[in-house]
Amino acid sequence: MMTYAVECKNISKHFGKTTALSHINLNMEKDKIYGLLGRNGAGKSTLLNIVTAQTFPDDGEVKIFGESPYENGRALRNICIVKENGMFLKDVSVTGALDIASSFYNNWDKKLAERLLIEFQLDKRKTYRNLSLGMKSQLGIIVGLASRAPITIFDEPYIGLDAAGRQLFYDVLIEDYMENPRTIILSTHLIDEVSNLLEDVIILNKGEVMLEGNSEDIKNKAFYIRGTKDRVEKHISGKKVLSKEEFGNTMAVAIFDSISDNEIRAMELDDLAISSIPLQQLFIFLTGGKMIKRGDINE
Amino acid sequence: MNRIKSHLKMHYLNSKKSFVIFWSIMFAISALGILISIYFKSRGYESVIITNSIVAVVIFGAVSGMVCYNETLPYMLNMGITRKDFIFGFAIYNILLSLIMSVIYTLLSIWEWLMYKLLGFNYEHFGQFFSGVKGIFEMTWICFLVTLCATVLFTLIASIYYKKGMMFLFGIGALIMLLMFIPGVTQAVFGFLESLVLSCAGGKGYIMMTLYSLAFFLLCYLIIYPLARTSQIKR
Repeated sequence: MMTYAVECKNISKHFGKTTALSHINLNMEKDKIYGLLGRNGAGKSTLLNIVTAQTFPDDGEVKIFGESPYENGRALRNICIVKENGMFLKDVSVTGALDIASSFYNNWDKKLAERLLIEFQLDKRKTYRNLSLGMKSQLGIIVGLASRAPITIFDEPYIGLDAAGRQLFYDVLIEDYMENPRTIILSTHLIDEVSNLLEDVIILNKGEVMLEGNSEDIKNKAFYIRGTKDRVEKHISGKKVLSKEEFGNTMAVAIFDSISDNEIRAMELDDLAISSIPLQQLFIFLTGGKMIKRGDINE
Repeated sequence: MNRIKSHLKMHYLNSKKSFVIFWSIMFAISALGILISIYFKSRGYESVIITNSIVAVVIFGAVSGMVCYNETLPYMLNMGITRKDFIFGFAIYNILLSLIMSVIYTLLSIWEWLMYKLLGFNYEHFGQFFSGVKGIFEMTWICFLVTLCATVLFTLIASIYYKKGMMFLFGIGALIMLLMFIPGVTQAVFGFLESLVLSCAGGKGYIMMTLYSLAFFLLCYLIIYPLARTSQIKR
């Protein structure tokens, strides 16, 4: 039987009358990069807090490499989580924060941490309190990457970080991942920027898994089709339509469904324009208001 | 064991700044006090010199216990430490902090005593709980016990605050105040405290004090343990 890096079985969590997570079932494999996507309040951070045993689920169970992480040092040692709000001690310097982190993570790569300090041009002597928002994110990213933890989680890690800083993060992440494969979970809003990094995607919406699967497979099922109204309608019959817009006799639809090569050829013969939907746009379609149940999509 | 070492290292780095600031102020006050005493003596004032207070050390320990718990529990959970290891590490931190504080306090007291003796002043300690204590070891030990009790009490308060919130803490405070209205309760509480203090008097009083402090420490941690074990990171 396959041992997953992260296994969530029927996880539910409520905060008062609010349902943060509802019956979440997920399996994350070893040495893969996952994108955990969802709108604000979708339950991403709650899920990650439960996975790292920082919060208890009301129902269900989590396993890390086959073991429950609750009060299990051996399981927890496999995880490094970097959060958007930092979670560093305010009066500790950058050097101190890295020093503490190095003593907690068994695979800590000191050279990588030093290299990233130079690349991010982060002042080692500054205390966390005195760092700008972007610098705080840089520190989190350095800890996450240098931890080399078998499960490394980045929960919105780059608040306040400029485009160059984010690009550096992506470059180092992929470079380090190629040399030292591990399970990376990237929870983010900046979907377009990371879409090429992600091997698997999980979309949470209102505390439920709306969509999960291989990133390429998902992208290969999401299309825009444009053309004259009657021809478009002929070809999308029976397909799952995410959005439909009409401009006079012209129609543009976004569909999320498998399309065979024959169907594509037939559409081209009918002068229909077919293009892929970027992951971010697909995410907006899926989470942008109209509730689409998981069963509607994941078939 | 390595996790506990890492835990203590974190406390060291986290508390270093406030610790240095606190003792810098204490030593500065002491030095200023000596200068002021010299000035007034040169003006002909002759009186008993009253100097630094153990109360400041106890307050530092208490505040440190409270602030550190609330700051470091979520941090340590984020670093992947178990709650059990956190409690164990925090208890060691309470003990080490109290011990180091009391040793430095004793050194400060010895320094003051030497200075005032050399300058020919009548010297007394202000706020020394047990004026009968003469030996350096006893003085350090009693300071340690008092600081430890304050630290662990405020760690307990912090653990209730973290787990249950401010309103619950206020509720406990209000309940205690209400209980005091019941005839005989106040007298019983003060009578109990008085008997504790009296049993600590005398030459070997510090042995009783040690036992009481140890019992208090364990009692507090018996309450802290289940609270911390079920604490979650705040949203």
